[in-house]
Amino acid sequence: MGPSIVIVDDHPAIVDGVRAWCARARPEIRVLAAGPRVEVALEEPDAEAVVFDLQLAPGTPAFGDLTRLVDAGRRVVVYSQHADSDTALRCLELGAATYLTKAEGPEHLIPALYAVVQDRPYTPPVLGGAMAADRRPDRPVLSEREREVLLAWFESDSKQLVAQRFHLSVKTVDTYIGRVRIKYADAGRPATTKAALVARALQDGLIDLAGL
Amino acid sequence: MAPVSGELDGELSARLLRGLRIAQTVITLVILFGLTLPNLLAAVAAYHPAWAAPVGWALLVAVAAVDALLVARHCFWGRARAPVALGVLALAVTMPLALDPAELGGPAQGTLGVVGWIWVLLFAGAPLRGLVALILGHLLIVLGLLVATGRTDRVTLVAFGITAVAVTSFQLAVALAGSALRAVARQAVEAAESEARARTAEEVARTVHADREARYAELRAVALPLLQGIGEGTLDPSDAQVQQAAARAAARLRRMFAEEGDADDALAAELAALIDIAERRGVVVRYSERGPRPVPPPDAAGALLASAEAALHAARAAARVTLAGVGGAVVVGVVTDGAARVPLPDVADVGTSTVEAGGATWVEARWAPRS
Repeated sequence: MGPSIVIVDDHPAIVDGVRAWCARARPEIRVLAAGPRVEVALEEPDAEAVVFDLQLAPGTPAFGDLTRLVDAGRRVVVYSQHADSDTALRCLELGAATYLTKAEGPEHLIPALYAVVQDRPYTPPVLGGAMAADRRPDRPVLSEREREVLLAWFESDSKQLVAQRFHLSVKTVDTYIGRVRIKYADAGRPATTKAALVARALQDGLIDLAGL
Repeated sequence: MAPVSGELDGELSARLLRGLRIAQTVITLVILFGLTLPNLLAAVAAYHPAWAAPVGWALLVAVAAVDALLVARHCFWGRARAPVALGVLALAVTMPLALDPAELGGPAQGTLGVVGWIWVLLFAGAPLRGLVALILGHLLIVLGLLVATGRTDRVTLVAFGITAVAVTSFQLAVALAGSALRAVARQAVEAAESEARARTAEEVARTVHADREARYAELRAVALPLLQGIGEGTLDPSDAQVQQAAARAAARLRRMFAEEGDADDALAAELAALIDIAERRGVVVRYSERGPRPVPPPDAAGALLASAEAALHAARAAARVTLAGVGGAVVVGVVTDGAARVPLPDVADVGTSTVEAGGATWVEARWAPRS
Protein backbone atom coordinates (compact mmCIF):
# COMPACT_ATOMS: atom_id res chain seq x y z
CA MET A 1 0.00 0.00 0.00
CA GLY A 2 1.24 3.48 -0.83
CA PRO A 3 1.94 6.33 1.57
CA SER A 4 -0.80 8.48 3.12
CA ILE A 5 -0.76 12.28 3.25
CA VAL A 6 -2.70 15.36 4.27
CA ILE A 7 -2.99 18.47 2.07
CA VAL A 8 -3.06 21.89 3.72
CA ASP A 9 -3.97 24.45 1.07
CA ASP A 10 -6.67 27.09 0.95
CA HIS A 11 -7.13 26.82 -2.78
CA PRO A 12 -9.65 24.15 -3.88
CA ALA A 13 -8.11 23.96 -7.36
CA ILE A 14 -4.69 23.10 -5.92
CA VAL A 15 -6.18 20.51 -3.55
CA ASP A 16 -8.05 18.89 -6.46
CA GLY A 17 -4.93 18.90 -8.60
CA VAL A 18 -2.76 17.27 -5.91
CA ARG A 19 -5.53 14.72 -5.22
CA ALA A 20 -5.62 13.82 -8.91
CA TRP A 21 -1.81 13.35 -9.08
CA CYS A 22 -1.92 11.20 -5.93
CA ALA A 23 -4.73 9.01 -7.32
CA ARG A 24 -2.77 8.45 -10.57
CA ALA A 25 0.49 7.66 -8.74
CA ARG A 26 1.65 4.04 -8.53
CA PRO A 27 1.77 2.95 -5.75
CA GLU A 28 -1.21 5.16 -5.06
CA ILE A 29 -0.82 7.92 -2.50
CA ARG A 30 -3.85 8.13 -0.19
CA VAL A 31 -5.08 11.60 0.78
CA LEU A 32 -6.47 11.21 4.31
CA ALA A 33 -7.69 14.79 4.64
CA ALA A 34 -7.42 18.23 3.06
CA GLY A 35 -8.30 21.71 4.19
CA PRO A 36 -7.27 25.32 4.44
CA ARG A 37 -6.03 25.16 8.06
CA VAL A 38 -3.00 23.53 9.64
CA GLU A 39 -5.23 21.77 12.23
CA VAL A 40 -6.36 19.40 9.46
CA ALA A 41 -2.85 17.94 9.48
CA LEU A 42 -2.35 18.03 13.26
CA GLU A 43 -5.60 16.06 13.77
CA GLU A 44 -4.53 13.30 11.36
CA PRO A 45 -1.69 11.53 13.18
CA ASP A 46 -1.56 8.63 10.70
CA ALA A 47 -0.56 10.78 7.74
CA GLU A 48 3.04 10.08 6.76
CA ALA A 49 3.59 13.47 5.14
CA VAL A 50 1.93 16.87 4.84
CA VAL A 51 1.72 18.89 1.62
CA PHE A 52 1.75 22.40 2.98
CA ASP A 53 0.90 25.67 1.24
CA LEU A 54 3.04 28.38 2.79
CA GLN A 55 0.57 31.14 1.93
CA LEU A 56 -2.59 30.21 3.84
CA ALA A 57 -3.64 33.81 4.32
CA PRO A 58 -2.72 36.94 2.39
CA GLY A 59 0.39 38.63 3.74
CA THR A 60 3.22 36.90 5.54
CA PRO A 61 4.13 33.25 4.88
CA ALA A 62 2.88 30.79 7.52
CA PHE A 63 6.27 30.02 9.11
CA GLY A 64 4.54 29.63 12.52
CA ASP A 65 2.25 26.87 11.21
CA LEU A 66 5.23 25.17 9.57
CA THR A 67 7.07 25.18 12.89
CA ARG A 68 4.00 23.67 14.64
CA LEU A 69 3.91 20.83 12.11
CA VAL A 70 7.65 20.18 12.44
CA ASP A 71 7.47 20.28 16.24
CA ALA A 72 4.67 17.68 16.01
CA GLY A 73 7.18 15.47 14.16
CA ARG A 74 5.51 15.81 10.75
CA ARG A 75 7.37 15.45 7.46
CA VAL A 76 6.38 18.58 5.61
CA VAL A 77 6.62 19.13 1.87
CA VAL A 78 6.25 22.88 1.46
CA TYR A 79 4.40 23.58 -1.77
CA SER A 80 4.55 27.27 -2.35
CA GLN A 81 4.01 29.98 -4.89
CA HIS A 82 6.87 31.91 -3.31
CA ALA A 83 9.96 31.42 -5.41
CA ASP A 84 12.56 33.51 -3.59
CA SER A 85 15.62 31.80 -2.11
CA ASP A 86 15.26 33.21 1.38
CA THR A 87 11.80 31.70 1.86
CA ALA A 88 12.94 28.29 0.59
CA LEU A 89 16.06 28.18 2.77
CA ARG A 90 14.15 29.44 5.80
CA CYS A 91 11.66 26.56 5.42
CA LEU A 92 14.53 24.03 5.40
CA GLU A 93 15.99 25.70 8.44
CA LEU A 94 12.66 25.38 10.26
CA GLY A 95 12.68 21.64 9.51
CA ALA A 96 10.61 21.20 6.34
CA ALA A 97 11.51 17.97 4.51
CA THR A 98 11.64 19.71 1.16
CA TYR A 99 10.44 22.79 -0.69
CA LEU A 100 8.73 22.90 -4.09
CA THR A 101 7.50 25.87 -6.02
CA LYS A 102 4.05 25.39 -7.50
CA ALA A 103 5.59 25.52 -10.98
CA GLU A 104 7.56 22.35 -10.10
CA GLY A 105 4.52 20.41 -8.89
CA PRO A 106 3.72 18.33 -11.99
CA GLU A 107 7.19 16.72 -12.20
CA HIS A 108 8.41 16.79 -8.63
CA LEU A 109 5.61 16.62 -6.06
CA ILE A 110 4.87 12.88 -6.29
CA PRO A 111 8.58 11.78 -6.33
CA ALA A 112 9.18 14.17 -3.40
CA LEU A 113 6.39 12.52 -1.40
CA TYR A 114 7.76 9.00 -2.06
CA ALA A 115 11.20 10.16 -0.93
CA VAL A 116 10.23 12.06 2.21
CA VAL A 117 8.01 9.32 3.68
CA GLN A 118 11.17 7.20 3.69
CA ASP A 119 13.14 10.08 5.25
CA ARG A 120 15.22 10.32 2.07
CA PRO A 121 16.35 13.73 0.85
CA TYR A 122 14.61 15.27 -2.15
CA THR A 123 15.88 18.49 -3.66
CA PRO A 124 13.87 19.91 -6.57
CA PRO A 125 15.83 22.16 -8.97
CA VAL A 126 14.72 25.56 -7.66
CA LEU A 127 15.63 24.56 -4.10
CA GLY A 128 18.99 23.33 -5.47
CA GLY A 129 19.48 26.74 -7.07
CA ALA A 130 18.76 28.45 -3.76
CA MET A 131 21.40 26.29 -2.06
CA ALA A 132 23.97 26.89 -4.81
CA ALA A 133 23.44 30.66 -4.61
CA ASP A 134 23.23 30.76 -0.80
CA ARG A 135 25.40 33.66 0.43
CA ARG A 136 24.21 33.85 4.04
CA PRO A 137 27.11 33.98 6.50
CA ASP A 138 26.00 30.88 8.46
CA ARG A 139 25.29 28.70 5.41
CA PRO A 140 26.69 25.14 5.32
CA VAL A 141 30.06 24.81 3.60
CA LEU A 142 29.74 23.22 0.12
CA SER A 143 32.59 21.94 -2.00
CA GLU A 144 33.14 23.58 -5.39
CA ARG A 145 31.93 20.42 -7.15
CA GLU A 146 28.79 20.23 -5.00
CA ARG A 147 27.96 23.83 -5.82
CA GLU A 148 28.53 23.28 -9.57
CA VAL A 149 26.36 20.14 -9.60
CA LEU A 150 23.56 21.92 -7.74
CA LEU A 151 23.71 24.88 -10.10
CA ALA A 152 23.63 22.52 -13.09
CA TRP A 153 20.64 20.67 -11.59
CA PHE A 154 18.87 24.00 -11.14
CA GLU A 155 19.61 25.02 -14.73
CA SER A 156 18.77 21.77 -16.47
CA ASP A 157 16.16 20.02 -14.27
CA SER A 158 17.72 16.82 -15.66
CA LYS A 159 20.15 14.61 -13.78
CA GLN A 160 21.05 13.01 -17.09
CA LEU A 161 22.24 16.36 -18.49
CA VAL A 162 24.16 17.11 -15.30
CA ALA A 163 25.81 13.68 -15.41
CA GLN A 164 26.75 14.13 -19.08
CA ARG A 165 28.25 17.54 -18.47
CA PHE A 166 30.50 16.54 -15.57
CA HIS A 167 31.21 13.01 -16.86
CA LEU A 168 29.58 11.46 -13.81
CA SER A 169 26.97 8.72 -13.39
CA VAL A 170 23.40 9.79 -12.60
CA LYS A 171 23.81 8.00 -9.27
CA THR A 172 26.84 10.12 -8.38
CA VAL A 173 24.94 13.28 -9.30
CA ASP A 174 22.20 12.09 -6.96
CA THR A 175 24.76 11.55 -4.23
CA TYR A 176 26.12 15.09 -4.56
CA ILE A 177 22.64 16.62 -4.42
CA GLY A 178 21.62 14.39 -1.51
CA ARG A 179 24.75 15.17 0.47
CA VAL A 180 24.18 18.91 0.27
CA ARG A 181 20.64 18.40 1.56
CA ILE A 182 22.06 16.52 4.54
CA LYS A 183 24.50 19.38 5.21
CA TYR A 184 21.50 21.68 5.40
CA ALA A 185 19.68 19.25 7.70
CA ASP A 186 22.71 19.34 9.95
CA ALA A 187 22.60 23.14 10.28
CA GLY A 188 20.37 25.49 12.25
CA ARG A 189 17.54 24.62 14.60
CA PRO A 190 17.36 20.90 15.50
CA ALA A 191 14.22 18.93 14.65
CA THR A 192 13.27 15.24 14.75
CA THR A 193 12.58 15.35 11.00
CA LYS A 194 16.14 16.56 10.38
CA ALA A 195 17.58 13.86 12.64
CA ALA A 196 15.59 11.21 10.74
CA LEU A 197 16.96 12.52 7.44
CA VAL A 198 20.56 12.38 8.69
CA ALA A 199 20.08 8.91 10.24
CA ARG A 200 18.62 7.57 6.99
CA ALA A 201 21.47 9.09 4.97
CA LEU A 202 23.97 7.32 7.23
CA GLN A 203 22.15 3.98 6.75
CA ASP A 204 22.03 4.50 3.00
CA GLY A 205 25.74 5.28 2.91
CA LEU A 206 25.02 8.72 1.39
CA ILE A 207 27.28 10.22 4.05
CA ASP A 208 29.55 8.72 6.69
CA LEU A 209 30.08 9.87 10.25
CA ALA A 210 33.31 11.60 9.27
CA GLY A 211 31.36 13.62 6.68
CA LEU A 212 29.10 15.12 9.32
CA MET B 1 22.57 48.97 1.35
CA ALA B 2 25.49 48.13 3.64
CA PRO B 3 28.23 50.25 2.04
CA VAL B 4 25.93 53.27 1.92
CA SER B 5 25.07 52.96 5.61
CA GLY B 6 28.75 52.51 6.48
CA GLU B 7 29.56 55.72 4.62
CA LEU B 8 26.76 57.61 6.34
CA ASP B 9 27.76 56.27 9.73
CA GLY B 10 31.41 57.12 9.10
CA GLU B 11 30.54 60.59 7.86
CA LEU B 12 28.35 61.63 10.77
CA SER B 13 30.50 60.24 13.59
CA ALA B 14 33.64 61.56 11.86
CA ARG B 15 32.10 65.04 11.77
CA LEU B 16 31.17 64.95 15.46
CA LEU B 17 34.46 63.38 16.51
CA ARG B 18 36.45 65.93 14.53
CA GLY B 19 34.83 68.82 16.40
CA LEU B 20 35.78 67.19 19.67
CA ARG B 21 39.34 66.50 18.48
CA ILE B 22 39.82 70.14 17.49
CA ALA B 23 38.64 71.19 20.98
CA GLN B 24 41.04 68.70 22.57
CA THR B 25 43.93 69.98 20.48
CA VAL B 26 43.20 73.57 21.51
CA ILE B 27 43.02 72.58 25.21
CA THR B 28 46.32 70.69 24.99
CA LEU B 29 48.17 73.47 23.15
CA VAL B 30 46.90 76.10 25.59
CA ILE B 31 48.11 73.98 28.52
CA LEU B 32 51.47 73.25 26.83
CA PHE B 33 52.17 76.91 26.06
CA GLY B 34 50.23 78.69 28.82
CA LEU B 35 50.97 76.44 31.79
CA THR B 36 53.70 73.87 31.16
CA LEU B 37 56.12 76.19 29.36
CA PRO B 38 56.19 78.96 32.06
CA ASN B 39 56.41 76.34 34.84
CA LEU B 40 59.34 74.56 33.16
CA LEU B 41 61.17 77.82 32.32
CA ALA B 42 60.89 78.85 35.95
CA ALA B 43 62.29 75.49 37.05
CA VAL B 44 65.09 74.97 34.51
CA ALA B 45 67.64 75.18 37.29
CA ALA B 46 66.02 72.30 39.16
CA TYR B 47 66.64 69.93 36.20
CA HIS B 48 69.98 68.12 35.85
CA PRO B 49 70.91 68.45 33.04
CA ALA B 50 69.07 71.73 32.56
CA TRP B 51 68.26 71.07 28.88
CA ALA B 52 66.02 68.18 29.91
CA ALA B 53 63.17 70.61 30.57
CA PRO B 54 63.03 72.39 27.17
CA VAL B 55 63.77 69.18 25.23
CA GLY B 56 61.00 67.27 27.03
CA TRP B 57 58.58 70.11 26.42
CA ALA B 58 59.55 70.31 22.75
CA LEU B 59 58.92 66.57 22.31
CA LEU B 60 55.41 66.91 23.77
CA VAL B 61 54.72 69.87 21.50
CA ALA B 62 55.94 67.80 18.55
CA VAL B 63 53.45 65.00 19.35
CA ALA B 64 50.63 67.54 19.72
CA ALA B 65 51.64 69.13 16.40
CA VAL B 66 51.61 65.80 14.57
CA ASP B 67 48.18 65.09 16.06
CA ALA B 68 46.93 68.48 14.85
CA LEU B 69 48.12 67.54 11.33
CA LEU B 70 46.28 64.20 11.57
CA VAL B 71 43.08 65.97 12.69
CA ALA B 72 43.40 68.34 9.74
CA ARG B 73 43.72 65.33 7.41
CA HIS B 74 40.88 63.36 9.03
CA CYS B 75 43.34 60.67 10.12
CA PHE B 76 43.89 58.73 13.34
CA TRP B 77 47.12 57.44 14.89
CA GLY B 78 46.33 53.81 14.08
CA ARG B 79 49.34 51.54 14.50
CA ALA B 80 51.57 54.42 15.64
CA ARG B 81 49.29 54.99 18.64
CA ALA B 82 50.79 52.38 21.01
CA PRO B 83 54.52 53.17 20.43
CA VAL B 84 53.98 56.94 20.63
CA ALA B 85 51.83 56.61 23.78
CA LEU B 86 54.50 54.44 25.42
CA GLY B 87 57.21 56.92 24.32
CA VAL B 88 55.29 59.72 26.03
CA LEU B 89 55.07 57.53 29.15
CA ALA B 90 58.86 57.00 29.01
CA LEU B 91 59.33 60.77 28.75
CA ALA B 92 56.93 61.35 31.67
CA VAL B 93 59.01 58.93 33.78
CA THR B 94 62.52 60.10 32.79
CA MET B 95 61.89 63.84 33.18
CA PRO B 96 61.05 63.58 36.93
CA LEU B 97 64.21 61.48 37.34
CA ALA B 98 66.21 64.48 36.06
CA LEU B 99 64.33 66.77 38.46
CA ASP B 100 65.42 67.80 41.93
CA PRO B 101 63.45 65.40 44.25
CA ALA B 102 62.24 68.33 46.33
CA GLU B 103 60.32 69.67 43.31
CA LEU B 104 58.56 66.36 42.49
CA GLY B 105 54.79 66.59 42.34
CA GLY B 106 54.90 70.36 42.10
CA PRO B 107 54.60 72.83 39.21
CA ALA B 108 58.24 72.16 38.24
CA GLN B 109 57.28 68.64 37.19
CA GLY B 110 55.74 70.08 34.06
CA THR B 111 54.81 66.72 32.56
CA LEU B 112 52.53 65.67 35.44
CA GLY B 113 49.35 67.33 34.24
CA VAL B 114 49.92 67.59 30.52
CA VAL B 115 50.88 64.05 29.41
CA GLY B 116 47.32 62.89 30.16
CA TRP B 117 46.08 65.42 27.60
CA ILE B 118 48.58 64.12 25.05
CA TRP B 119 47.20 60.62 25.59
CA VAL B 120 43.64 61.91 25.21
CA LEU B 121 44.72 63.21 21.77
CA LEU B 122 46.36 59.91 20.86
CA PHE B 123 43.35 57.81 21.88
CA ALA B 124 40.70 59.77 19.95
CA GLY B 125 38.48 57.21 18.21
CA ALA B 126 40.04 54.26 20.09
CA PRO B 127 38.75 52.22 23.08
CA LEU B 128 39.28 54.01 26.40
CA ARG B 129 40.94 51.05 28.19
CA GLY B 130 44.47 51.94 27.02
CA LEU B 131 44.03 55.61 27.94
CA VAL B 132 42.79 54.82 31.46
CA ALA B 133 45.61 52.31 32.00
CA LEU B 134 48.28 54.84 30.91
CA ILE B 135 46.92 57.70 33.05
CA LEU B 136 46.60 55.52 36.17
CA GLY B 137 49.95 53.84 35.54
CA HIS B 138 51.62 57.23 35.20
CA LEU B 139 50.12 58.48 38.48
CA LEU B 140 51.22 55.30 40.29
CA ILE B 141 54.79 55.69 38.99
CA VAL B 142 54.95 59.32 40.16
CA LEU B 143 53.53 58.24 43.53
CA GLY B 144 56.22 55.56 43.67
CA LEU B 145 58.92 58.19 42.96
CA LEU B 146 57.56 60.37 45.79
CA VAL B 147 57.68 57.44 48.19
CA ALA B 148 61.15 56.37 46.99
CA THR B 149 62.56 59.86 47.58
CA GLY B 150 61.06 59.98 51.08
CA ARG B 151 58.48 62.68 50.26
CA THR B 152 55.73 60.94 52.22
CA ASP B 153 54.70 63.92 54.35
CA ARG B 154 50.98 64.64 54.43
CA VAL B 155 51.16 68.04 52.68
CA THR B 156 53.02 66.63 49.65
CA LEU B 157 50.73 63.60 49.33
CA VAL B 158 47.52 65.63 49.68
CA ALA B 159 48.76 68.20 47.16
CA PHE B 160 49.67 65.39 44.73
CA GLY B 161 46.29 63.73 45.30
CA ILE B 162 44.39 66.95 44.57
CA THR B 163 46.40 67.60 41.41
CA ALA B 164 45.98 63.99 40.27
CA VAL B 165 42.21 63.82 40.85
CA ALA B 166 41.47 67.26 39.40
CA VAL B 167 43.54 66.87 36.24
CA THR B 168 42.69 63.21 35.61
CA SER B 169 38.95 63.69 36.03
CA PHE B 170 39.02 66.49 33.43
CA GLN B 171 40.94 64.32 30.99
CA LEU B 172 38.72 61.26 31.47
CA ALA B 173 35.58 63.40 31.19
CA VAL B 174 36.69 64.74 27.81
CA ALA B 175 37.64 61.24 26.61
CA LEU B 176 34.29 59.86 27.80
CA ALA B 177 32.52 62.65 25.95
CA GLY B 178 34.22 61.36 22.80
CA SER B 179 32.91 57.83 23.42
CA ALA B 180 29.42 59.10 24.19
CA LEU B 181 29.46 61.20 21.04
CA ARG B 182 30.31 58.14 18.95
CA ALA B 183 27.44 56.18 20.55
CA VAL B 184 25.00 59.05 19.90
CA ALA B 185 26.20 59.30 16.31
CA ARG B 186 25.66 55.56 15.83
CA GLN B 187 22.11 55.78 17.19
CA ALA B 188 21.32 58.76 15.03
CA VAL B 189 22.56 56.89 11.97
CA GLU B 190 20.52 53.80 12.90
CA ALA B 191 17.39 55.91 13.27
CA ALA B 192 18.03 57.58 9.91
CA GLU B 193 18.64 54.20 8.28
CA SER B 194 15.50 52.60 9.64
CA GLU B 195 13.52 55.59 8.37
CA ALA B 196 15.17 55.20 4.96
CA ARG B 197 14.36 51.48 4.97
CA ALA B 198 10.72 52.18 5.79
CA ARG B 199 10.55 54.72 2.95
CA THR B 200 12.16 52.23 0.57
CA ALA B 201 9.72 49.49 1.62
CA GLU B 202 6.79 51.82 0.94
CA GLU B 203 8.20 52.72 -2.44
CA VAL B 204 8.76 49.04 -3.27
CA ALA B 205 5.21 48.18 -2.19
CA ARG B 206 3.88 50.95 -4.45
CA THR B 207 5.94 49.72 -7.39
CA VAL B 208 4.93 46.10 -6.82
CA HIS B 209 1.29 47.12 -6.68
CA ALA B 210 1.57 49.06 -9.94
CA ASP B 211 3.40 46.12 -11.49
CA ARG B 212 0.63 43.76 -10.41
CA GLU B 213 -2.01 46.03 -11.86
CA ALA B 214 -0.12 46.01 -15.16
CA ARG B 215 0.18 42.23 -15.08
CA TYR B 216 -3.53 41.75 -14.43
CA ALA B 217 -4.28 44.06 -17.31
CA GLU B 218 -2.10 41.79 -19.46
CA LEU B 219 -3.91 38.77 -18.03
CA ARG B 220 -7.24 40.23 -19.11
CA ALA B 221 -5.88 40.74 -22.61
CA VAL B 222 -4.37 37.25 -22.94
CA ALA B 223 -6.61 34.84 -21.07
CA LEU B 224 -10.05 36.40 -21.02
CA PRO B 225 -10.77 36.28 -24.81
CA LEU B 226 -9.70 32.64 -24.79
CA LEU B 227 -11.90 31.72 -21.84
CA GLN B 228 -14.78 33.74 -23.29
CA GLY B 229 -14.43 31.97 -26.63
CA ILE B 230 -14.43 28.53 -25.03
CA GLY B 231 -17.37 29.50 -22.83
CA GLU B 232 -19.44 30.78 -25.71
CA GLY B 233 -18.54 27.84 -27.89
CA THR B 234 -16.82 29.89 -30.61
CA LEU B 235 -13.49 28.19 -29.73
CA ASP B 236 -13.19 24.42 -29.64
CA PRO B 237 -11.04 23.02 -26.76
CA SER B 238 -10.17 19.99 -28.93
CA ASP B 239 -8.70 22.25 -31.63
CA ALA B 240 -4.90 22.03 -31.58
CA GLN B 241 -4.56 25.77 -32.13
CA VAL B 242 -6.82 26.59 -29.20
CA GLN B 243 -4.87 24.15 -27.05
CA GLN B 244 -1.62 25.85 -28.01
CA ALA B 245 -3.04 29.28 -27.23
CA ALA B 246 -4.24 27.95 -23.87
CA ALA B 247 -0.78 26.50 -23.10
CA ARG B 248 0.78 29.86 -23.97
CA ALA B 249 -1.63 31.74 -21.75
CA ALA B 250 -1.10 29.22 -18.93
CA ALA B 251 2.66 29.61 -19.13
CA ARG B 252 2.32 33.36 -18.88
CA LEU B 253 -0.08 33.07 -15.96
CA ARG B 254 2.38 30.81 -14.16
CA ARG B 255 5.12 33.36 -14.60
CA MET B 256 2.86 36.15 -13.41
CA PHE B 257 1.78 34.31 -10.30
CA ALA B 258 5.17 32.95 -9.36
CA GLU B 259 6.55 36.39 -8.37
CA GLU B 260 9.96 35.05 -9.23
CA GLY B 261 13.28 36.30 -8.34
CA ASP B 262 15.93 37.41 -5.89
CA ALA B 263 16.95 40.42 -7.95
CA ASP B 264 15.56 42.59 -10.66
CA ASP B 265 17.69 44.08 -13.41
CA ALA B 266 18.03 44.80 -17.08
CA LEU B 267 19.37 41.32 -17.88
CA ALA B 268 16.27 39.70 -16.35
CA ALA B 269 14.06 42.10 -18.29
CA GLU B 270 15.79 41.36 -21.61
CA LEU B 271 15.58 37.65 -20.91
CA ALA B 272 11.85 38.05 -20.22
CA ALA B 273 11.50 39.71 -23.63
CA LEU B 274 13.24 36.74 -25.32
CA ILE B 275 10.95 34.33 -23.46
CA ASP B 276 7.98 36.36 -24.61
CA ILE B 277 9.03 35.94 -28.24
CA ALA B 278 9.41 32.17 -27.79
CA GLU B 279 6.01 31.96 -26.14
CA ARG B 280 4.42 33.79 -29.03
CA ARG B 281 5.74 30.95 -31.22
CA GLY B 282 3.89 28.50 -28.99
CA VAL B 283 6.84 27.32 -26.90
CA VAL B 284 5.94 26.71 -23.26
CA VAL B 285 8.73 28.28 -21.21
CA ARG B 286 9.50 27.70 -17.56
CA TYR B 287 11.62 30.41 -16.00
CA SER B 288 13.49 30.53 -12.68
CA GLU B 289 16.09 32.82 -11.22
CA ARG B 290 18.24 32.40 -8.15
CA GLY B 291 20.79 34.30 -6.15
CA PRO B 292 21.91 37.93 -6.00
CA ARG B 293 23.70 38.93 -9.21
CA PRO B 294 26.32 41.51 -10.05
CA VAL B 295 25.55 43.57 -13.16
CA PRO B 296 27.72 42.41 -16.09
CA PRO B 297 29.17 45.03 -18.45
CA PRO B 298 27.05 45.63 -21.60
CA ASP B 299 29.15 43.46 -23.96
CA ALA B 300 29.06 40.51 -21.53
CA ALA B 301 25.31 40.90 -20.99
CA GLY B 302 24.91 41.00 -24.77
CA ALA B 303 26.87 37.75 -25.16
CA LEU B 304 24.78 36.02 -22.47
CA LEU B 305 21.56 37.14 -24.17
CA ALA B 306 22.80 36.13 -27.64
CA SER B 307 23.46 32.61 -26.38
CA ALA B 308 20.04 32.40 -24.72
CA GLU B 309 18.36 33.74 -27.85
CA ALA B 310 20.03 31.16 -30.10
CA ALA B 311 19.09 28.35 -27.72
CA LEU B 312 15.47 29.51 -27.39
CA HIS B 313 15.23 29.87 -31.15
CA ALA B 314 15.82 26.11 -31.49
CA ALA B 315 13.06 25.24 -28.99
CA ARG B 316 10.12 23.39 -30.54
CA ALA B 317 7.55 22.98 -27.78
CA ALA B 318 9.19 23.42 -24.38
CA ALA B 319 12.09 25.27 -22.80
CA ARG B 320 13.50 25.91 -19.36
CA VAL B 321 15.29 29.21 -18.82
CA THR B 322 17.29 29.99 -15.69
CA LEU B 323 19.23 33.00 -14.51
CA ALA B 324 21.54 32.53 -11.54
CA GLY B 325 24.05 34.52 -9.54
CA VAL B 326 26.59 32.19 -7.94
CA GLY B 327 29.84 33.25 -6.35
CA GLY B 328 30.09 36.53 -8.28
CA ALA B 329 29.30 34.87 -11.64
CA VAL B 330 26.14 35.35 -13.71
CA VAL B 331 24.86 32.19 -15.41
CA VAL B 332 22.13 31.99 -18.04
CA GLY B 333 20.92 28.45 -18.74
CA VAL B 334 18.50 27.33 -21.47
CA VAL B 335 17.30 23.74 -21.87
CA THR B 336 15.21 23.01 -24.96
CA ASP B 337 13.80 20.11 -26.92
CA GLY B 338 15.62 21.26 -30.06
CA ALA B 339 19.18 21.19 -31.35
CA ALA B 340 20.65 24.63 -30.74
CA ARG B 341 23.56 26.20 -32.62
CA VAL B 342 25.04 28.68 -30.24
CA PRO B 343 27.47 31.40 -31.36
CA LEU B 344 30.88 31.25 -29.69
CA PRO B 345 31.20 34.44 -27.66
CA ASP B 346 34.22 36.64 -28.28
CA VAL B 347 33.84 38.65 -25.11
CA ALA B 348 36.16 38.76 -22.10
CA ASP B 349 35.15 36.55 -19.17
CA VAL B 350 32.19 34.98 -21.01
CA GLY B 351 32.12 31.25 -21.78
CA THR B 352 29.45 28.92 -23.11
CA SER B 353 28.89 25.18 -22.94
CA THR B 354 26.42 22.93 -24.71
CA VAL B 355 25.37 19.51 -23.42
CA GLU B 356 22.97 17.12 -25.17
CA ALA B 357 21.28 14.09 -23.65
CA GLY B 358 17.99 12.29 -24.11
CA GLY B 359 16.73 14.63 -26.81
CA ALA B 360 17.34 17.72 -24.69
CA THR B 361 19.93 20.41 -25.34
CA TRP B 362 21.27 22.48 -22.50
CA VAL B 363 23.11 25.67 -23.36
CA GLU B 364 24.84 27.56 -20.62
CA ALA B 365 26.49 30.97 -20.91
CA ARG B 366 28.49 32.20 -17.98
CA TRP B 367 30.06 35.56 -17.18
CA ALA B 368 32.71 35.04 -14.51
CA PRO B 369 34.77 38.20 -14.01
CA ARG B 370 38.38 37.64 -12.98
CA SER B 371 38.78 39.83 -9.96
